[in-house]
Amino acid sequence: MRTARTALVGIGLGLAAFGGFLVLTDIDPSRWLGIVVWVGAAILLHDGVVAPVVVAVGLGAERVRGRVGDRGVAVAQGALVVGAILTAITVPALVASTLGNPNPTILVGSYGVALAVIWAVLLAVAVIALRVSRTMVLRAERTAHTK
Amino acid sequence: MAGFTERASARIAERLEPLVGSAHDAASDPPVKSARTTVVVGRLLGAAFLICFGTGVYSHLLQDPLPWLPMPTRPVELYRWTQGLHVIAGTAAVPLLLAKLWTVYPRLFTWPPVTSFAHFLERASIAVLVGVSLVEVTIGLMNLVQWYAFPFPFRATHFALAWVLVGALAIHLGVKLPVIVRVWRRPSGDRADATGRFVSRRGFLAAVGAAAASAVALTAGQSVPALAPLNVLAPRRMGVGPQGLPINRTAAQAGVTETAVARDWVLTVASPAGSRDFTLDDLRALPQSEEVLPIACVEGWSQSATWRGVRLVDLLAAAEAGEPTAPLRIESLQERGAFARTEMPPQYARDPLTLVALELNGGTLDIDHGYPARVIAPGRPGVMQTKWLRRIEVTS
Repeated sequence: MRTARTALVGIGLGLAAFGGFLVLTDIDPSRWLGIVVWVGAAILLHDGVVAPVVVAVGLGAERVRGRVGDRGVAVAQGALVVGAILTAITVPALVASTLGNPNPTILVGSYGVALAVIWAVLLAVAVIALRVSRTMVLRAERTAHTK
Repeated sequence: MAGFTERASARIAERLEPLVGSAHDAASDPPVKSARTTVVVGRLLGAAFLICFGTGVYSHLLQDPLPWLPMPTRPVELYRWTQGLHVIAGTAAVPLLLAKLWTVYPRLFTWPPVTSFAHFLERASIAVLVGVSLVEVTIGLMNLVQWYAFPFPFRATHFALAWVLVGALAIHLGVKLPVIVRVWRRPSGDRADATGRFVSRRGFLAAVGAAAASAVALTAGQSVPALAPLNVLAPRRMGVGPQGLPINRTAAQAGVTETAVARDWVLTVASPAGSRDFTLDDLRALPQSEEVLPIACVEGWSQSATWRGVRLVDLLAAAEAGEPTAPLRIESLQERGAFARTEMPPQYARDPLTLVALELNGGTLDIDHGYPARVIAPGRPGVMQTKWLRRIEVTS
């Protein structure tokens, strides 16, 4: 274990040092600050914005789980995750489409329309799952009540 | 003075500790955000990153060949697969990376933030790993749509940071090896379907899996023919472009709209033995060959096409340039750009499949595809398939 850990850390230091060497030798010094800023901003944006929003969504789900039922909430959360990821990977195409490109063979999709359709489908799935799940919770409550 | 700073930092720590503690409690979900979940997602993310790294290094070696390392010319679709896989794995890494970070987010609020110098180094290496991972996938996605909004060159930065990323990943694995081994060795006692506060573990993994699968399914059609009907989110679409084939750079962008159609255009083939100019009619008079070869772009899209023209070996023979043993120098009419002049290692120059193409999919080469003549060789990135040829030089 000790050998494996030492080897991994050693190899890692070597690889990272080579990456640093490439930054120092292949990239103009005037660009270094930009790289540092982007790496720092990525951490801040994730840890300070994206992750807290996801935590907030989780806390919201926690509050309604009892009333709506676990399955419905899980499906709705899944739909939200899928929609958020598909939106995230399409943001560059949406922005670049508004900026325009003289090459007519790139950005050929209708990304806004595609995302709207995707969200509509996901919303429908989430609504159906939540309603079914809520009905089952109510039925279970009623059965428990009559017994 | 020292006493004052000490007192001040103690006061700050006193105020911060409950805040950090409540952030930790709000974000934590022990049964789901467990070591086991982190290892499960981390394994997939690690695989995606290693695929990206391997295929990325391969792509760089094709663009900047090492003289002592000959690159393979077969299978002809090899680069199409590796670079398609690079972008597919990078796309799948988006949900996997965010999922991985979700499982460990409460650990950001560890108190005290740093307990020792070793702990500080570990946290610093994780900061590098997280930041560089996020930047790599972000600029990768931006590059696919040619949105160069970052203040640094794409290729050199993406390549250098990839080494930093795998290095930080190896360090991370080294540091966390005991945790990983513990999860692998024995059942950790937690159930696979553990129910957490926010979501059950199965629900979480299913959501991440669905996100990764749908992201790949809706974009991979730009390089995988079977998925082309589902391609609604990728920047390119198979069959969309002049002569049914996408292009990376138009003739107008390359500034060759006039020089490419000039009446006095000739292709110069030079060698130590001398040089010879070929007009378009001269090239058409040479024996013509037809090959099915893919255009595979560094941006991940690819498509197979039928090319017709003169075999490069036949052209070099006609010019009495001799058999190439060193890289050919190939020049385009385009004045600007990193790929206006490229080198072709001898194994591609000698390959019978390598063409100086004059026709594409049954018609004269469109100007955006490189009219009057372009190079098409097996297994090379699209940027090396020089369009609007001007000069081919055999070096000794």
